[in-house]
Amino acid sequence: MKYREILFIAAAAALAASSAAADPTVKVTVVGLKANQGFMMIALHSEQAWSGAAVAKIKVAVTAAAMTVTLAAPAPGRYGIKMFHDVNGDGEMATNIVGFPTEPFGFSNDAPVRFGPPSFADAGFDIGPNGAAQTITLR
Amino acid sequence: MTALTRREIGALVLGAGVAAAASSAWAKTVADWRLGFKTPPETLDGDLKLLEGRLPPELQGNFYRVGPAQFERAGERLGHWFDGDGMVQRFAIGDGSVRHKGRFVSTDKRRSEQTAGRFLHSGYGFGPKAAAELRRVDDINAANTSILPIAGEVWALWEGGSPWRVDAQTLDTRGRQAFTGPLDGAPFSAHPKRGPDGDVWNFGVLGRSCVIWHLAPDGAVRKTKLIELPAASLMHDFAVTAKYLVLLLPPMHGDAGGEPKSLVDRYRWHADRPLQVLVLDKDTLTIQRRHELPARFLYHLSNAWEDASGTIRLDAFLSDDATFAVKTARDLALGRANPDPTGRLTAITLPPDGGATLDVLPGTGEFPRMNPRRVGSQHRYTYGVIANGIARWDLATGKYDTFSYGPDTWSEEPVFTPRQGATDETDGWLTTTVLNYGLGRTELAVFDARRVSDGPVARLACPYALPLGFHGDFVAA
Ligand SMILES: [Fe+2]
Repeated sequence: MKYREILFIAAAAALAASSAAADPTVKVTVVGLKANQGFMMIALHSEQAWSGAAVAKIKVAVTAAAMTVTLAAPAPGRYGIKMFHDVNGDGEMATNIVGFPTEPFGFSNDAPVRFGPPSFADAGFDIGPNGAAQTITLR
Repeated sequence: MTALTRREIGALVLGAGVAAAASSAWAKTVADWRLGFKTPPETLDGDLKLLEGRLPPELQGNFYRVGPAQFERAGERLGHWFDGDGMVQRFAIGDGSVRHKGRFVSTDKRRSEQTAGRFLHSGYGFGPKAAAELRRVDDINAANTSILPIAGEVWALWEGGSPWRVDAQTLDTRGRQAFTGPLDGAPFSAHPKRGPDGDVWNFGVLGRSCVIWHLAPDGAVRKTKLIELPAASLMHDFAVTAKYLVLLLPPMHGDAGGEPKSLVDRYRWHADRPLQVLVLDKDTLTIQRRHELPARFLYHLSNAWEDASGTIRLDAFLSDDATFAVKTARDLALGRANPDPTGRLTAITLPPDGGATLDVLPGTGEFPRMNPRRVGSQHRYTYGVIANGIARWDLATGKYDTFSYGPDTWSEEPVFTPRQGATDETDGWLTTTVLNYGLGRTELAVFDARRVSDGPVARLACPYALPLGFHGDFVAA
């Protein structure tokens, strides 16, 4: 019994140690939220899937003009963030009839847009073993 | 980029030839056509002085015009005429006198550039030294192209953004016209057509996406539809008939590739491709007919109508290519050259079987207008600008009457106002402006539309010169 407990404790300690060694999370501070309604929809993408499926997603109710959330990456590496403020709460990024966003949006590095999402080259940033931080201005 | 800018400045300083070398810059008060491309003060208010003739007592109301008016910031010269911030001009005509008021439209583009103190936005044909990002079309909407009087206010329109609402009396900017949902920020071109029922039709293009708009007389949306064009064509104007919408797609296509510095740099002229015509049914907004014309470029149509056999007739100023969009409008803004208009008024016949014939009328011109009561129905006369004057083309005889203001003038769009109760197509007046750069002022001229060659029935002088504008409209009192 004691032996098993010791084993358990050892395993837990090992787990704790390994997660302390690699914590590939990104702390995202979003500024410029214009209305305390709806949700922030934030997606973390790998370079290969910059225009494909996200590796992590989070949906957070908007309650302040600036908010901070954390997303976990599967492993350290280079990532990019796409986000929008789902003001009407329908889960979709609203666009007009010709496809331009009509809800506020943002990208990591505040990468500039030119009638379309920025390239990964502009929006990509590194998440190291100790994590990363990004401030995204909605626009 | 800086090399190019230096070259442009060099061209500006040296002028197009030796003779121009003496007139070194804009700011200099040289009485030449460049006066029409000078930034005016933020606000203009003045009374006009009668020079000759007499204002027709029945012609009372507000004549609105709009055009680009901000030509430099922080020492940087605007590189394309179509990108100057819009300034609305109002000539209040009543009881024998005329008062002028001019105000800039306070667009998002203008406000952001005022705050920054420099040009920020890459637009129709100008890419500033330090171009900001492009989030939405309205970032570069200069509200500088035409005027739509609607619901007691005036909308200042641009090529493909939202209308900007302007107070009809004070000319204060009220804000962006808030179409809702999927219509927010959707392209609304500068050439809406108001039919005899007061309804407004328009189109708006982004690439191959074309939004068709049908608005009630008060601006409420009746119907819209997104259609896909056969090509991303640079299309500025269109026409309506009783049954149809007629879209003319010149072979200036958005396939230039590379890294375009401005919208027009995305486009390439294809002399080997036709000018495509799409005919849409007004009820279903579906394409009914297609026609092909030879490769021609155009900005403006006058009017279209269909006869009992279903043949559609229209007239438009056609040019051989898109030189104006890519070169002339840059030369004008940069003070390099001011060539005469190159458009030839062309009567176009589109039989129901899909053929097409072109009849070219005499002279060259631009800015066609006609009796607004005939929009969509048969018209015989088109009025327009020629070098130093205006003209009236008779589509029945193929002849034209002209009037010249003389040298050192730049004539602007003649707007037709029918006489109240008139039934004859020509019974009304043409209200127009002319930059008399020889005398350093803008003048207002009113013509009897039946006798264009006789010259204006009244001509009045503004106390100052206004920048050259594009389109206007007359709102009768
Ligand atoms: Fe136009």
